Amino acid sequence: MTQYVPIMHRVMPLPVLWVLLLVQGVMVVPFLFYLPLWLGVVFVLVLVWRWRVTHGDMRKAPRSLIILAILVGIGGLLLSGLRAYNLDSAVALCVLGYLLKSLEVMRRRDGIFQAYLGYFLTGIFLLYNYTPVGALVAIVMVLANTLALHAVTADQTFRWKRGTKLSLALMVAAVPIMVAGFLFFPRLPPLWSIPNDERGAQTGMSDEVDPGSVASLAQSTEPAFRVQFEGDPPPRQQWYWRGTTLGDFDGRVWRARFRDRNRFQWPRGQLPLAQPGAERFDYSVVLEATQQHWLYFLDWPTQVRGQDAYVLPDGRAARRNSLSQTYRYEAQSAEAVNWPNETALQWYQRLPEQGNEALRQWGLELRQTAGSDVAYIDAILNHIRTEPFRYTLQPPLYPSADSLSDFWFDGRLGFCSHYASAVAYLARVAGIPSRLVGGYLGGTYNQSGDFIQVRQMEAHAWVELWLNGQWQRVDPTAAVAPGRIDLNLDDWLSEDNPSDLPFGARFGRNLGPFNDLRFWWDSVQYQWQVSILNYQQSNALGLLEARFGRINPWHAAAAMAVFLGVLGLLMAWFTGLLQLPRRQPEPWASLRRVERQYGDRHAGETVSDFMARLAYEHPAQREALARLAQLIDTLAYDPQATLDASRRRDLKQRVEACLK
Amino acid sequence: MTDIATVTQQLLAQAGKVVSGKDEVVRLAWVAILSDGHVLLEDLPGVGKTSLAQTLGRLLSLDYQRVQFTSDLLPADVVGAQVYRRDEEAFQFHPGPVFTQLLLADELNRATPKAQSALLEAMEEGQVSSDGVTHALPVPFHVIATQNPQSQAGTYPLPESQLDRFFMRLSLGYPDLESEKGLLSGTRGRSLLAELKPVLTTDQLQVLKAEVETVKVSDAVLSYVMRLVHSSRESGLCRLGLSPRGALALMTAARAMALVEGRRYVMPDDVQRVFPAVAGHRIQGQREHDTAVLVQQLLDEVDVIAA
Repeated sequence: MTQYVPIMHRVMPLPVLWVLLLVQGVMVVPFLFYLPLWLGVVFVLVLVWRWRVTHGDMRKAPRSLIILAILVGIGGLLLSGLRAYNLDSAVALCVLGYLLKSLEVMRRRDGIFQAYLGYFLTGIFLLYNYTPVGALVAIVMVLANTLALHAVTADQTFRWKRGTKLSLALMVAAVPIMVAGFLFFPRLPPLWSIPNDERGAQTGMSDEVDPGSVASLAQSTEPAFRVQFEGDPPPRQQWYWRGTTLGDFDGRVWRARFRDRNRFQWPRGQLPLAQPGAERFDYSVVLEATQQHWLYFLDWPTQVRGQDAYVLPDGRAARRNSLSQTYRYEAQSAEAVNWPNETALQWYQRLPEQGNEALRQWGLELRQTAGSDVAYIDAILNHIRTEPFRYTLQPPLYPSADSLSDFWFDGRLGFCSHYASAVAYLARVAGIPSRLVGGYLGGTYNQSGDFIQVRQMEAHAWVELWLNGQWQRVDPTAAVAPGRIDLNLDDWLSEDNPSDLPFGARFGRNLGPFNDLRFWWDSVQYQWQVSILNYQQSNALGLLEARFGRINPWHAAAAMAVFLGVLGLLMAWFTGLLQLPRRQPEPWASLRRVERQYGDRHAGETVSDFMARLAYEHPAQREALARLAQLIDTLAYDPQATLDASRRRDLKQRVEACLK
Repeated sequence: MTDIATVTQQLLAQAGKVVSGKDEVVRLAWVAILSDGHVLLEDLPGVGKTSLAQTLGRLLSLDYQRVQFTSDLLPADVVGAQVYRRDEEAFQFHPGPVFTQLLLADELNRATPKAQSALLEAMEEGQVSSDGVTHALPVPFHVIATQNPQSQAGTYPLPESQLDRFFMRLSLGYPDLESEKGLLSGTRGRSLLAELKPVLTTDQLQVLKAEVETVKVSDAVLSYVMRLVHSSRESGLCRLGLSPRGALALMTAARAMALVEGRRYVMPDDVQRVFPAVAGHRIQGQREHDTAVLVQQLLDEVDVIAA
């Protein structure tokens, strides 16, 4: 016998199944750029299964097949190199489940589930890509899911035109809420997080440098940060962007004084003060997500303003939490500064007892002939200039414990870190406090956006020496490859070392007329980062704070959530989506009381049938149940019966008689 | 005398002497007559269909006629025919057996569709046409048609459209042990038919009929009836759901049942009680199966109290 099937449990018509499948494709394909392609294989398998469905076999996949599919899916993901617990594997599992759900999506309620999961995935996608393109993709995803939701729930036959129209209309209707949320909803730190080390390999400066072990610098055209000056930027030769300072040397490796561990206990320091009359530069920086803590400044910084930003004693500035998203901060730099009294100078003079003996001897002899510290440094730089040293991004390895000596006397091939490392070492040999500074050099000025874009490939290292009570910048790279400092990196590389130019940069250059387009796109992305991703709430909140005083972001979030919740409930109420459970009117409330004690009435049972059944099960209550049934029936069905006070009392008594 | 509950008591008591142990069927037939409807009795031969019809005719003091439907029966045999009267030199209409207040159409499904439809027109219109002249039937006019189950040989099953015109379909079934004992020992049965005394006059019956319409129906009950009807059409259980005429009949029958029970308002219990008889022959399941099961399933699944 055919069973009565509620609408949500009914099998969906074939066109709707196809719509769902299409939406699934729209959802999954963008993820394939970030997750193992194995998921694409799974999607193809699901398509094959669906093809079978279109040939009339509407049965659900058997349990064994589903289990097999899950095992194959997870196995494939493991083979694709996903680790047990991080963001990628969590998302990959989610997408896998979303795909495999197709094996059993037949009924309308399954379809609804799929659409809701789709919305969830849309949110997740934005973790991977928050560029303007990502936002467009997310909008398409939301539209597609709304379309699916419509297709699944529509009473009528699904029509593309109507469905698309409806999705767009809903999207447009949601814009005011979106804008309000964007403007006022506080940006909160995450409550919990999944490690995303797999994806977020740290970029930018490391806090240790071992020049001898690098055979080739990874050349990435990815942007590192973008800088916008309030006035005119300084000349290109001064575009030294400092990030880390590395003051601890063990003979091979330079390390930062304060390392990643215990970052909450790092001491606080001060930035230098601008010298009176020195030219100052105010600018804002939008830093890409580096997964690190360091902030970058034009040499030398005097002020920094950013959420959770602070300054370390060794001249670095950092942010408490690692940068998992782009981060915007404002800073001021000055041409000439007064450094605070350096209390840890001996820290910058320490050398290992052993190693690099030849270089040490060479340095000590040179110091004696030079006569003064300044002359000594000049002599070193002169040596680099005159001897056949060469700058290259593909240096040989210097694996021995005397790597600096090997470089200085034999190899003479290296990039900025090699030269900086050697010069800083030689300075210490002579007792001059020295440290390496890691950062970037140069950048590209974007005319349309009026900002400077600095790319990862423009990473650079130089030396700071403590001379005459000041930290002073010495860039030995200028001695070996002056063009690196004067020219745009692309221009310099393509003139001197075309093979060193990374593919992306070569590509962009050769496109010629498309350069404008590239600049335009860079500036769009910059604007996106400044005005959308790092939208400063202070303007919007300022108004509120002026009225209500300091606003705790958690309180603001709670208030916002309450506001949106109430708004949503009101909308649901007025559109009839929601019927608040009303207190049942009498006599049904009395019936409910009896049901709570004795068990529910069956759907097809009338009140007297129900009471008669109870009476059969509880013969002692027969009389009372019958009396109650009679009164309930009268109250419920006799249009002339009214529930006056005495009737109400009577009803109550009869109910209680039954419940004894 | 016009207290309908009392009348019903008497009616059941009297009828019980002849058609023993079938109170509910008699009551439903009584409800059908109060609702001005016609009854289809579907049963095996020899379980007392004719006795029931005769009993009702006698107790309600209705003129009673019986037509045995056979395969060679012609419409004129039911309706009547124009007969040439030599003395008046004109045709004159000779009324057929249909001109009565209670017509027992025995074994309706043995007749050809043509003869069947002659009767069905009379049932629907309350009048018959012969040679272009329309003749009104007496008031009240009730038909109790009997029909053997269609699996039996030599029958012309009634099409759905004609079944719909019967207000109720009832079935007597075999008598229970005690009734059969009484029947065999001669203390009960058709032999007692002559002893029955009418409980109502025709005029009183008409008055009672008029009262059916005054029975109140609350919104709760109306909503229940609508959900039942809707479910028969939409749930996918039935290939053929309840027609609007069927829904109307259900409502009327429930009113009459309430009246028979001595109430002036309808309860869902009344609806459930008449539902199998009113809906059973009007709906059809997706497959060939007993509509009694189907009807019970509808009753079980539709919530009596709106959620």
